[in-house]
Amino acid sequence: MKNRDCRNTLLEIDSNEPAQRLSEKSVAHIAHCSSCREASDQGSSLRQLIAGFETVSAPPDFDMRLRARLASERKPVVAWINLLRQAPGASAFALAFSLLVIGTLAFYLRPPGTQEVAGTRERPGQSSGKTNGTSGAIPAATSASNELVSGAPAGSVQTSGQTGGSNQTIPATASRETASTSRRAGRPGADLNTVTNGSDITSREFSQLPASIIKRPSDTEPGMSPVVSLSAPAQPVVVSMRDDHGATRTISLPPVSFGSQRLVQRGYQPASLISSAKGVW
Amino acid sequence: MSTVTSLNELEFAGVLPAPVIERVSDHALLAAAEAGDEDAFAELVGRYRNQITSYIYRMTNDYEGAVDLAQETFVRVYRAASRYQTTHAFSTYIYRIATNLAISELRKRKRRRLVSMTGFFESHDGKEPTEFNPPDSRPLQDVALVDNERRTAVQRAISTLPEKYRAPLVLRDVEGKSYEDIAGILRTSEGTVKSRISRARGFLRDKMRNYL
Repeated sequence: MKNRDCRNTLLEIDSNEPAQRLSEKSVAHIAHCSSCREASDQGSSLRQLIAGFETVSAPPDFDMRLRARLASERKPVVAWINLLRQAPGASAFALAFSLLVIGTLAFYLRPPGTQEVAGTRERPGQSSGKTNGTSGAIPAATSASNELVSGAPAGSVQTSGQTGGSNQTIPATASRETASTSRRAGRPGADLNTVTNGSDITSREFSQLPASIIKRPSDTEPGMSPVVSLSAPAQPVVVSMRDDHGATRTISLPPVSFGSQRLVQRGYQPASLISSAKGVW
Repeated sequence: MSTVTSLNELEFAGVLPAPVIERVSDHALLAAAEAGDEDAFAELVGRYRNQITSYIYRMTNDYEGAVDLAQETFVRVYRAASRYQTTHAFSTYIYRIATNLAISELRKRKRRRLVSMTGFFESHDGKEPTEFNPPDSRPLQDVALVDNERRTAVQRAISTLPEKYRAPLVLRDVEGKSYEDIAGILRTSEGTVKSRISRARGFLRDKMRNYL
């Protein structure tokens, strides 16, 4: 019974407010219970101590530090906003993107040029075999026709006009095979026959090119024989000449070779002197 | 949320700025601060900086840390001004933020297992640390010195209380908050608050038996 009263009294002491008085029952119990009286005294003393705590003041620079802290937290956002303001606009990005797309398309859709021919030259036997199945004569004809098209003859044949001061038209065919192929095809405009051989190298067949037409220059003095430069392929060349009156003469020119020329024109492959010694040296 | 967006919108604003601003409610000040009125926020800080700093100091027993946490409290108030709801008093709102920050700090310290250099800690029940600071039996010369010594001992004893007992005890006995306010700050019932305060006082009385 005493323990229950002590427990209730201690509970009331702990839950009581400083200005609040204990109940009469607890006061009566404390009067004859030394332990509860001691607890009550300690409780009131403790509350007085706690209530006597002074309010701790904030430091004088509290506001300044707080402002600096708020400003530093705002800085990253402001920096990003300024960066976005200084950055070029959407139009500049669109222009740059358009230029990039145009450049990429121009790179991939560019017309096949001499790079592919150079690539074919690296493997002449393979490309000629893929195009028409012939071998041997095609690389030389290809090389000769290429020179005609590019207008940079490595070696030239001087042809003297035999019709005096009349204008001459001299169709020069690269080779007999080329001429016959052109006739069979019957379409001079189809000068290019692009063949893709499965790899990334595209070959261009020049043997089907129409024969070049060379006109005598108009400023040639009368009585002077015009000089027309022709490439000198390793194959025989048929030159057809036509004067102003329509008279046609055909001349067959044998290949002009000094041996070393054939060695070079066969796709950089050393020619066998034994098998082709006839007419070479 | 109040519809006042700036102190300038108040009809008496600009006439007597300094005295008037002191009579403006916390809600109006926070609404004005949200609208960008820095003076309103400065007034709000001036009203609560000492209370919050003192409260956090009683909770953590670390002045510098309490100042930092008090500043963090105001930073959070400033940032969350748009989300503030007037269903509770502003003091309840800011004390709740401060309490959460203080409890987070206490938990961080517990994880770091900080050891006080002023005394050894012993566990009362094997879980919570208890200040081991034997009383000086020599006669003291000055009563003020005695009171100071006892208050220091009480402060250290409070700092060893479990968090759930410490916060309501400090709010009630140090800050003088009502049970209703404490229940709002701690988001619990008044009965729970009373029970925890009673137990906290019992713990303190046991710990301070030699000083009382």
